[in-house]
Amino acid sequence: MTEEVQHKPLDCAFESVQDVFALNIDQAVEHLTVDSLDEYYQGAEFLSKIGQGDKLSIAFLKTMPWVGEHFGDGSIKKITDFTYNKICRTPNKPAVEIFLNSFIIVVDHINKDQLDEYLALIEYHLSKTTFSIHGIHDTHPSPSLIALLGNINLLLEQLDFKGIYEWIDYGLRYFKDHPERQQEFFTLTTPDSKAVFQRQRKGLLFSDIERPINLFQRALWKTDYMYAPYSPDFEKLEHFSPYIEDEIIRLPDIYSDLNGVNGCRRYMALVAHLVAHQQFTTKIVADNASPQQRFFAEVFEDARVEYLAIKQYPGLKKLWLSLIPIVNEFDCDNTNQSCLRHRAIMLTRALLDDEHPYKNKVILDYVDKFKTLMGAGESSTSDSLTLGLGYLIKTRGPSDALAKVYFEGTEVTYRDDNRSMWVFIEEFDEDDEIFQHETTPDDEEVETIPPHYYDEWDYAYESYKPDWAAVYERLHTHTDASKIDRILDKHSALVKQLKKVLDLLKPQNKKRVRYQEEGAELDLDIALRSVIDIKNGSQPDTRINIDFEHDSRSVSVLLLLDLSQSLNEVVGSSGQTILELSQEAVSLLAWAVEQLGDNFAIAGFNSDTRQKVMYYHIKGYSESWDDTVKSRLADLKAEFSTRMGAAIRHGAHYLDLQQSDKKLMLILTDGEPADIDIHDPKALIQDTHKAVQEVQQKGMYPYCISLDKRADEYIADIFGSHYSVIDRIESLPKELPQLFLSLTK
Amino acid sequence: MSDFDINQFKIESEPFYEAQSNEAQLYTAAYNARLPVMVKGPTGCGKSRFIEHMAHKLDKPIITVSCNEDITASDLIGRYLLDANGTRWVDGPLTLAARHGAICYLDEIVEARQDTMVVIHSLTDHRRELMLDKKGELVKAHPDFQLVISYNPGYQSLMKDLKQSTKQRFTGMDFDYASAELEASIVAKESGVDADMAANLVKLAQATRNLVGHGLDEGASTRLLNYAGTLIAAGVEVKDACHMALVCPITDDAEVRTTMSGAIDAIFG
Repeated sequence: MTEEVQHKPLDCAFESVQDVFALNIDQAVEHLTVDSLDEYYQGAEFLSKIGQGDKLSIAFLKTMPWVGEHFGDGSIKKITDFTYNKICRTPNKPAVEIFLNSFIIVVDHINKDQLDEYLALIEYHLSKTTFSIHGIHDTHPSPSLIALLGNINLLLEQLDFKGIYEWIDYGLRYFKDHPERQQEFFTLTTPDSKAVFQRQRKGLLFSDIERPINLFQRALWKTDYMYAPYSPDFEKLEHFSPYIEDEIIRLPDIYSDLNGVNGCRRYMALVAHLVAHQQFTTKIVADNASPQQRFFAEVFEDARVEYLAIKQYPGLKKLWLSLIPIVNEFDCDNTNQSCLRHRAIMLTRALLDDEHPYKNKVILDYVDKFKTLMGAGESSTSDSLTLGLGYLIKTRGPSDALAKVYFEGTEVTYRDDNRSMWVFIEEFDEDDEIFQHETTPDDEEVETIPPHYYDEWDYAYESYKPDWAAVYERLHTHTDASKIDRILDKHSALVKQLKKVLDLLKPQNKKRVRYQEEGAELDLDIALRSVIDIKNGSQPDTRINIDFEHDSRSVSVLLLLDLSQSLNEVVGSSGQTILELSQEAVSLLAWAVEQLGDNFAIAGFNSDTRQKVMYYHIKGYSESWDDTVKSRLADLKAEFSTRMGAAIRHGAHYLDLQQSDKKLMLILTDGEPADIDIHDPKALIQDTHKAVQEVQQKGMYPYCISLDKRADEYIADIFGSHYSVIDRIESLPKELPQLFLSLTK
Repeated sequence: MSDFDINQFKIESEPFYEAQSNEAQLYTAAYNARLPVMVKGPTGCGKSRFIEHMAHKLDKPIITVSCNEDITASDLIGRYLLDANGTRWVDGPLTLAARHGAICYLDEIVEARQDTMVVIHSLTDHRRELMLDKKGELVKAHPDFQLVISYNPGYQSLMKDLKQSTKQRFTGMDFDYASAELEASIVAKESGVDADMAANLVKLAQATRNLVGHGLDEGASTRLLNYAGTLIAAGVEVKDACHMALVCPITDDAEVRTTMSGAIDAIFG
């Protein structure tokens, strides 16, 4: 390239653009071919003349040298055209600058030949989200393009194009007509947006593997540490390390394959390393060591605990080695960058790997020292510190302090940050009195319990909306328990009647009883023996039958009460509300179940949009039918709506944990599932139906008692044949316990 | 009945048994006094092997009965059977042992129903006699006769336990998996693998035993370790052998299997 080409002026009247051009032209000339450079000039000139101000050209000038280099000739032209035709000529002009700037990130994540695919993706999103109210023109800008571009780094890094399309489609499906929600979704801040994103991610989610990992640490070390996964991507913790503190292991929520090691094995490597620290590391004082000294002490300490762990479980060596990167010994240039990490990773590899490729004398020396120490038997964390200090002294150089650090390939992902190895005793580290936390009263603490998220079924798309409904658990408020006792007194005649039925109620399992004079079947063995006795002339045994009897009763019951607003309606001429009648019915039922000794819980639910489904514990499985429970039942209130599916899923979560042969979920409701944020009456009916199916698949038996006179129109769609409709609501107190008894007979 | 040869119940070649502590001495003392013995311990830890070993050592015949729910008193005592000439009395295993002087070993006795086992009572106290009421005979126990029962306290449900009146007729011996070194040497001898391999197999077994109550009802037994060792000695790939002998038999839970394969990797690489 000649001097003239380098300095060919840009035909543009904006001074600011000329300034940026002057700063970037050298870069452009260095990175671009002649053809691309032409496109670069033409694009920048064109964009400054389309009446959009100077911002476009500035962003263009800054980013395109990299784009042209990465995607090759023709790419800059393509982007210029796309910018003009697809963005500038639509109402989405405010997004242009961000769109152009995003290419700095995009070039890092997609291949040379994927530019068209990327542009198609943006176009797809634009065409779907830019809409018009009148006429044929797109009159409103896309509410979410800027949000989408803001997350483009995360999207391209974690998902493939197919995954991104899935995620976009999901957002479009549910928030197309709701600009604010749409924006929330595409900024990746809502739980459902994150959940859909998670599903598309590449790798193994920790939650899918938690139990095997837990069993793994228990099997090999008899330890029982808890886990708290963090999201490196959402929380912007790219180089954040796992650690263990207060018996809790913090680890990434997702692992993809690395060096041929799958996510499951990577989690095992991590847990094994952390447990090794817990076994073999003793805390040492950190105050006297500099960060660099600590850094190398940690390298030796990691190697030391792993050496000891490998002695116990030799196979761990292979696993760990496959996760420790090998760097080229001469890759780091110590004249212009800090080689601390480079030296550390070589040392790390050499300490563990007998066939390491390194020839550096100091490394070999210290590997020998380390091996001698370990071979001698006794070793401690302070030995690691000594080795670390010595190694640093031998190897340190002026470049260690440089800000530019050789980083690539020096991370050992399964290792923790070794915070458990150090103890700081500096004065200012002690508790700061100024920032004393105010203690919150119990009630407020309840408010802070985070919600459980449940999927909801979308019948139109035949798919789940992940983490859609937020269920908050609360203990129900309480009042005077004597109200319930009065109810039981009022129904004393019914109580007596129920008692008779209860006595008759036989437990369920069948058990064989032999030696019966009368019974269901002939016991051939014994009959034959009796025949022999007769032949033999001795007295035969006449108890030659076999019978079956019921064995112990193993039932868990959850009674789920609909506490929506409609329960406040007064029934007929009785003057009682449905809620009061339900209270009576539930009291009688609870009393009856208590008599039987079944495992029994009562919970109530209502909902105020999907963001707030309330689930009230009234009686827990382990609680007995005492005044505490009665006082909660006495205080029932009816408000809001009926999002039944989420409540059923949450109730099933607890019922599933009960250890009984039979699990019964009774749902008492006065109307169809509905909520104020759902306009399609079928949506929640279908979702509840799906929830009922899920519950059945888990081996529970859902059964609905409906007080809605027109329930016949929909109830069979939800519960199949598992329902009763009680037409005379006044008779509920009598019918509910009887219904329960007949169900469990 | 005089033509009956009780010696067929003798154990001919010595069963391999590695003593954990002084159990042989204790058992011999109990036998010398003809005290009934109960041995308790988890599956496959060597209870039956120990009894056979002792029977061989003492040179006494041993009659083993594996108990089950349907076993009746007459299955133990004996009964009349039909034959061409009418009926004929046949001694049950307990009567045989008592009459001819053998050790009667009732394996997994809690599997039998509690009231069945009451028939052994008269043989286990000072009377040492057995009434055959159908036959109208009172069998006085042979001087060499001894009763031994075994059971596994962990595995059976709460419903299955011995009656106190039965329990209190026995002296008891607790068995457990041998210590790691001892168990490794047992596995090495029994299956023919080298000491290192045996030690690693024992580590794996201990890993499974740590999971008892967390997805496993019982850990891998010494018997299964021997199976694994035998397979390895026969040239089977280590991981395959472990899976076949130590993972597959004890669990169907996919997650526990994932854990076990992780543990196998951690131990064998």
